[in-house]
Amino acid sequence: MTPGLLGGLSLLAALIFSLLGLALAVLAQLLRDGRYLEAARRLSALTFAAALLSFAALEWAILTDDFSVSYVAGHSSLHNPLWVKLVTPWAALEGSILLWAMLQAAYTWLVGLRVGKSLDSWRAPSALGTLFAVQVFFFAVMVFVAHPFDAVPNPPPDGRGTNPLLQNHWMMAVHPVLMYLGFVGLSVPFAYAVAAMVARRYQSWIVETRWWTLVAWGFLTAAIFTGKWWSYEILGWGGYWAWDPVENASIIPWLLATAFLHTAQVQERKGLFKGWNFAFITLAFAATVFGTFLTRSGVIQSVHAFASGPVGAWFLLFLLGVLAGGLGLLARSSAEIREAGEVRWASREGALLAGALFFGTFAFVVVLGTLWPLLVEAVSGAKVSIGAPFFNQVSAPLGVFMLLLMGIGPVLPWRHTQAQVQRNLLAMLLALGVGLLIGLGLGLTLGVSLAIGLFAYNLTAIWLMVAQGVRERARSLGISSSQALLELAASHKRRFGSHIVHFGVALAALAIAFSQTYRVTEQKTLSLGETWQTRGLEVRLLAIQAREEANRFAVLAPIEVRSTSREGWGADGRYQTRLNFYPQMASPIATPVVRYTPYNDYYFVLMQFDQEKGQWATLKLIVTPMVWWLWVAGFVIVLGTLYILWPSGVRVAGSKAAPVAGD
Amino acid sequence: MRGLFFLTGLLFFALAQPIPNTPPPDLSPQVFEIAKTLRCPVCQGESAAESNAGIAVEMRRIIAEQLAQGKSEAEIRRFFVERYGDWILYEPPARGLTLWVWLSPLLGLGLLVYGLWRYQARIRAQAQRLAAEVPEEEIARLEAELKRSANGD
Repeated sequence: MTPGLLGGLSLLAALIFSLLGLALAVLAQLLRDGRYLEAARRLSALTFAAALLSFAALEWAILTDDFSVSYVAGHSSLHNPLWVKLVTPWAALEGSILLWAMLQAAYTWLVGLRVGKSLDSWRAPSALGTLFAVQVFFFAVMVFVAHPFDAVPNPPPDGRGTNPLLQNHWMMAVHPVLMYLGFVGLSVPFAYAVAAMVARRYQSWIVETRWWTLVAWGFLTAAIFTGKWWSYEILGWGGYWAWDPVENASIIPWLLATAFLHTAQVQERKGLFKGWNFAFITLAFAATVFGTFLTRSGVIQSVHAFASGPVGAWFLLFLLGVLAGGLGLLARSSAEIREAGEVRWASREGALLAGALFFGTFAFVVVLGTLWPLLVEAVSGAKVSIGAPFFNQVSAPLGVFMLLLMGIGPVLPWRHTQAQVQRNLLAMLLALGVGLLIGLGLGLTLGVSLAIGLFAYNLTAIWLMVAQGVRERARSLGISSSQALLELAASHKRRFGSHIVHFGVALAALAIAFSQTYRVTEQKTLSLGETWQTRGLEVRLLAIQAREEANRFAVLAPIEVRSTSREGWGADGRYQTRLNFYPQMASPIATPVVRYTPYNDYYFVLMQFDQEKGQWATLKLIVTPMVWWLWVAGFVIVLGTLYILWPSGVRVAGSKAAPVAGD
Repeated sequence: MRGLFFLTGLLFFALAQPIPNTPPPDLSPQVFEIAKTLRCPVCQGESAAESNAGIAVEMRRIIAEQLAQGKSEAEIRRFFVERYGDWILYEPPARGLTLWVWLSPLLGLGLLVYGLWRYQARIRAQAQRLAAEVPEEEIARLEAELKRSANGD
């Protein structure tokens, strides 16, 4: 048996199993017969096994350089190092859909394991049926339009190679998988929402759905931060977020899932916003399909669109199907949903709702800004650009409101406010004012000063809440404060985890404000041995060298950097700036060298060099303050999410040592 | 050795786009600040500050030249708009069809608040109609809440 044959057959098997599973789930729903449900549940395991086998076959074909398989011939090469071969399955369209479908099958299988436990038999058939339907779509796309295992009649001696931008950094082994885990993970909350609406059980779905959403959200967050870091390390422009369509496609589901995570708590506690929660989760899942459509259809061009192909129309149809199904059910349910009680704005639920409104608005702005150029061109034929300067300006005020709400929300009690809360709010506003004034006093811009103020404000909020809880517990049980803190952290994991996440977000906002405002880019051509004095640095060009590497050719320009004043703190060292030439790329890729410090990041890029005599080289220098803290913040947010998700009963020490995906 | 390397380098360049072997001009931070707001016309979603495409390199050179001539940021941007149209600006002008994008935050928030208001109004009307009847799920919720408060959460 060849890998191509094995892969093709197991793919077909996965499609047939998914179709059977869908049919059985529908039968179980219609006939209310547990045997059909059990059969569907078992098929989810079979589908996962078939998908896994298919994925393994693709890895096998790539590792054995089997160029009779179209995907391997098109996207791999004899000269690729082992790790590049291992990650090649998600370097292009067909393979990445296979990875997607395999993860989808894995999630369906996991949901199948919950049947009879938290997933009751009223909701299980429609939840499994929804997931099987999604699976049918992905396997059908592969079998009919984007088959990874198509046979090549005359196999070439070598493949066309993997996209160099992806080979250039090991992060590509991690980031796409995390992204897919997050994107695909949102199908489970969607399936739970559909099941709740089909079974007309509008309240009980929310607890477990929140958990599943948090899992997907954690993966998405880790994926977004690792993607930012990849962009920072590789693309050579010193930034981490360009509001590029592919980046927007990843942030839209994230924003909607975040909105859901907040309003879901209100439903859990008070039974309110049921209809809104259905809407948020349906839109979040639809946004993952929409994002895939945008980036896979070639409708929008982007620096990150590594895997485009002929699947656009299919994804559009699927998106319309998801929206029609989800919103149709929503229309029926919202006519039936009964809720008792109203929302006061000055309460926890009011703040959570307001926060969700801002997340929703943000998502709306990103969708509109991403699509507007297409719409304008379709309507009037005029070409317009909507890019980073626009999104940055619009997201700044939205961000300020969200950070304000993030501090207030958890401090406010449910239902209505109390007198002691006003004292807390006063302290937080005081911190905001002091931070703002300190920033302005140091001569920083208004925006950055506001970010400092908001950081202090959120830190005060978290501190007040934790200190209050610890004080009360220590007094009532007569134990020491540190013991009270440990006990509280272990018994209120959700609350403590959310404090950790919120702290991470406040820190990220601070890092973004500083780095976006004070990033400086300069470019200069240096002769061999020449010294460039700028921004507290002395940069000396030492040599220009060439190096042949297995899959590329590199030109290296080692430099020596000394810091001469506080402005250039921590920059000392020798750095190898380089340009990588890949045979399959028209222009070389400049791989920046980054000196990370908690104060400034120093970023050196070799832009050009003397090709004839090797006498000069052009260097770009980018100095950005506080980017380092953005990666710390990403780590903290993921850690906080893990803390919430960590199974209860495990001691705090255990969760601190947990491995963290990403960074 | 050195000769061989530059020959290989040249070969790569010959296969790729022709880049003249003259050093590019030194660029001040201001050049990049301006270039950041301009689209690189041949790239896929990159600004003239980031791209290494020939035309982006040329745009940075033009910006540096015009800055040296004492032109202001607005004048330099106008120079590019005259040649390429508004499309070259990454920040769309707040007029005509792109005015709507600038209004999108207000629009989005307005729509959501309106939706919320409608939702609450409907729920309230329903609640009045069904005041006599306590829904089953409400009872379940109250029980759960009682249990939770008994557990001291």
